[in-house]
Amino acid sequence: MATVILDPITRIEGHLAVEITTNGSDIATGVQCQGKMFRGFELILANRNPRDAVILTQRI
Amino acid sequence: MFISRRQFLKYCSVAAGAIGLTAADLMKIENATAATGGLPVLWIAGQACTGCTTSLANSVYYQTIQELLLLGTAASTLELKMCETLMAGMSNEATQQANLTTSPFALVVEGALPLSGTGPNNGYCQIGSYTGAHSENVGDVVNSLANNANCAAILTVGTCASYGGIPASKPYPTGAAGVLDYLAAASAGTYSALRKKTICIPGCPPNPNWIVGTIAFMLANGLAIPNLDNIRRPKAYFGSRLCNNCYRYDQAHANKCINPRLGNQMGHITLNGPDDGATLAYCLRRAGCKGPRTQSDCSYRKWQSPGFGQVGVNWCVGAGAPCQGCVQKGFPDTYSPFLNLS
Repeated sequence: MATVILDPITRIEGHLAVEITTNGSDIATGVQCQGKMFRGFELILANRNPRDAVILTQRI
Repeated sequence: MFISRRQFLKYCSVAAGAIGLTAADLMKIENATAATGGLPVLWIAGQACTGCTTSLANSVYYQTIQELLLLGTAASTLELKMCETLMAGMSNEATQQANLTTSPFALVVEGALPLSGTGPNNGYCQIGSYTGAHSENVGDVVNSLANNANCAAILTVGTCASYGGIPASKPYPTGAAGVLDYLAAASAGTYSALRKKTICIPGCPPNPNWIVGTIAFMLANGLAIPNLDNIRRPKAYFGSRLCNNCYRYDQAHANKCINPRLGNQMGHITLNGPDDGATLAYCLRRAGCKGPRTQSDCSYRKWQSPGFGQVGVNWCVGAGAPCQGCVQKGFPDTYSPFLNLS
């Protein structure tokens, strides 16, 4: 039962890690993709002039 | 020019580049960096959209990204040693580049750093594995690299890294802060020394010329910091108001101050879209343009340069889009709402 951690995944936009649990040799028994960053865009968009949404979500 | 994926990855591993400038500047760079051997750059991304890296990748005016990464000469190099978005290595191989800090390097930060929720397993932005641990908070990584004795300069690229930007807008969900604000909170003892070696290059995204030009200046001048304004922006790019060279300002107002009551001299954006004035030639202040409050050279330099040394093909206002003030410290909250319909 070994764990392989690939963190960071490069050449993508954003932050991603992959955690693979193996049976010790060559079978992956579990995989987790982990998104490592949160900004809260939906919270930021609330209670604003709705026309600003176009401008703000461009930067997601 | 066609490059196969295999070639591109091979070049990315080497990650050396040159910055094309005038012959005189190049000679200065060669003389300057012959002693230092070039300047390694560690590019760390926090709460970012990667727009700043993408903008840099569209660098053309001084040097293309191909030339920045691939075709440097030994004497005048910008060595992008560590940049997760572009580099070939993965995981440990990639982040161990950040441990090669035994000689002077420049730290470039893109994206905001969260001040809230930064326990070992509940950070809002975690990157790994710089110290061998699974992952750690990006703010801690930036803090330790910034305080490293070999960090010659800190460049905060983009409005998010410079002043907080969109992640740091209401209701401040993650306590995001620009690099300087983060270091003021997390490294108060060394803050004034860190601030002295920090250059802010805001923009959402910044024009690639601002980034490349600033680094080129530093290489050509022994890693000196260029002239900065009071919020650490290079005066060369952010020293004048947007209206100064805006063709619409001159046309509509013959160099006089804008009178908002001159409705017929303004472009309008209505529920049916922009009128002819907005599309063609009239000042967009009535439509919400923040040009009068924005210090930037967009009206001179424009965007999307078609070739080496050539002015850009267009810019926001030229396309009929009111300026959003994206290089300013209060962006977005102070400059919102961005569109005024009339």
